[in-house]
Amino acid sequence: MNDRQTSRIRRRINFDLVFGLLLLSVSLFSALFASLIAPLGSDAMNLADRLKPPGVDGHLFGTDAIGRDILARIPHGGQISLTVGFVSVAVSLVVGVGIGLLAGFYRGVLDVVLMRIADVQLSFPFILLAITVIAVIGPGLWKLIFVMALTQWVQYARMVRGQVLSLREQDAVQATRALGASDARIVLRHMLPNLIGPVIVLATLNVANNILLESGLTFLGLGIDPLIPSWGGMLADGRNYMQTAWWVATFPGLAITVTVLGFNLLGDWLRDRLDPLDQGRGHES
Amino acid sequence: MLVVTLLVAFAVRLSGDPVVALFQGASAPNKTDLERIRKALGVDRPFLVQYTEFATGLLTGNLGHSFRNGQPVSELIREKIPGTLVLAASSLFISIALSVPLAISSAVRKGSWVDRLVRLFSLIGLSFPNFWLALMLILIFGVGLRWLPPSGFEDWRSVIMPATTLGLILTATNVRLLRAALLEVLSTQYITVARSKGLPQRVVLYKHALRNAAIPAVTFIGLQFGGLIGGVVIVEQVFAWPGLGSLALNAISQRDYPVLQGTVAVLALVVVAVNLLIDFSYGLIDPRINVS
Repeated sequence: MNDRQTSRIRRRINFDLVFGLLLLSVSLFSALFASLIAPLGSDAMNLADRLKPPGVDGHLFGTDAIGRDILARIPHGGQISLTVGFVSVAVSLVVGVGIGLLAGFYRGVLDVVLMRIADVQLSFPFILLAITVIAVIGPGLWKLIFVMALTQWVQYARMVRGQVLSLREQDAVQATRALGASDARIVLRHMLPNLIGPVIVLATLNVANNILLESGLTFLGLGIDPLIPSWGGMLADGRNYMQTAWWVATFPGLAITVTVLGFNLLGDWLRDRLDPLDQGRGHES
Repeated sequence: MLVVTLLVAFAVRLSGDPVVALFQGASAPNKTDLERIRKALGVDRPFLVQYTEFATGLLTGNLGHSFRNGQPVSELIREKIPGTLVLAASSLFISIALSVPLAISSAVRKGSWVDRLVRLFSLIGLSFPNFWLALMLILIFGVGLRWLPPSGFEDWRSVIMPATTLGLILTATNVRLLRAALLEVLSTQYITVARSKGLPQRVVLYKHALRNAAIPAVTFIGLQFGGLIGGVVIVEQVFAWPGLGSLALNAISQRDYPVLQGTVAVLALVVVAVNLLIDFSYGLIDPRINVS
């Protein structure tokens, strides 16, 4: 590695990235090792220790209304939030990218239908539809993920389709075709690597967004089952004790903010690096 | 629009028998009573018939009657519109008052500590759940300092906290959009020309840069307006603010189809209307654009 390469790498690493990764690793590790941090589990309660303020009796973040340790519940809630964030984005990304590639490459009916769906989505206040749908099929972890995937794959499909439309006219792609490459090879080997950058940015920001959405819906009682520890549910709980116990609502919210901020910082950093518009040079290999 | 109402109407109808929901908690009525009530509310008819009625009613401003208390839906909505409008207008005001100066000071000195601070704060603003900000405001100003009424609608001071919550969240997005748009404009040649002919910084910024940066920023704000509606719903709920959002949420829990349908239709209409208004505003912002 010569000096120029080192300095280029150093230039890419900035405060935003370091801070974002730091926040993310805190929340990821605490969720992964939830059972180590809270060996008694998230639901161990002690009715004698109800609504204890932070720091009392070894409850660093205090306890809630039925004596459950808030510090123990937060990592477990994190598992739920991160699951929702990752799974919903993964599903919509795979579906969206697949359909976007097909629609952009082959055009035809699929393309027309896709663009109509995208129009509808742009003209509708989406959370209202999500609330309505969840009110109908009922709350629950997998239903929530289903609704998110159902409503978000279009974003990826639109983005990929647009990129494919411009890529397919490029000389490099035309040349590959002239060399006799199959459709699958052109799409997967030559187009996908060239358009995946913005998709990854969108996905990162959507993980953040979906964690927020999950907590919001759960807070309204339209998301995760209240018996399962989740950040939104803990906040809804804490709302009832605002007058007497500020800590019940404060710490889960901080946990959400830390996690979402981490993803947002990472997404922003990725956008600065990967967005071809900002950069003017490709990112092959 | 048509698709939206159809989707909502269809989804709402799947959600279970409204007549049973009406009696939640009360002693179960007998079968003949149930039938009679279904007939009276018109929910015994096929879905398409009900939908056609709703759609034609929407065109004439007749949204049907609430299942709960028989009040006309249009009346219920009219009662709640001022609440939502006041909230939306005051939060928009807060956000413009904050985001324009912040975005300018950040874009002018790109990379400076002001810029870094503004960017970090706007990113943090995007990262909290809006209802958590709402709860924290209640905790500090309602419960702790007792300066403001924690929720409900008592007097003019009640609007301060919900509007601040929404305003701050909006500011976070707007600052980012406006900053990006300003940076783009500031790097163009006509700004260099304006500067080189000796115009004061103030004129360059406000007259040349801000106007041109407003167009992309305003477009994005229009696109995000749907998300704002979602924020309104949650914030209204947290502050027990009488508005369209709480109306819709209550209608969901009570399976009050006509109210839910009507509210969602009106909100969707508002989103479409706002985007249309934004299209027209281009002409005002930039006289070169001919709207007609």
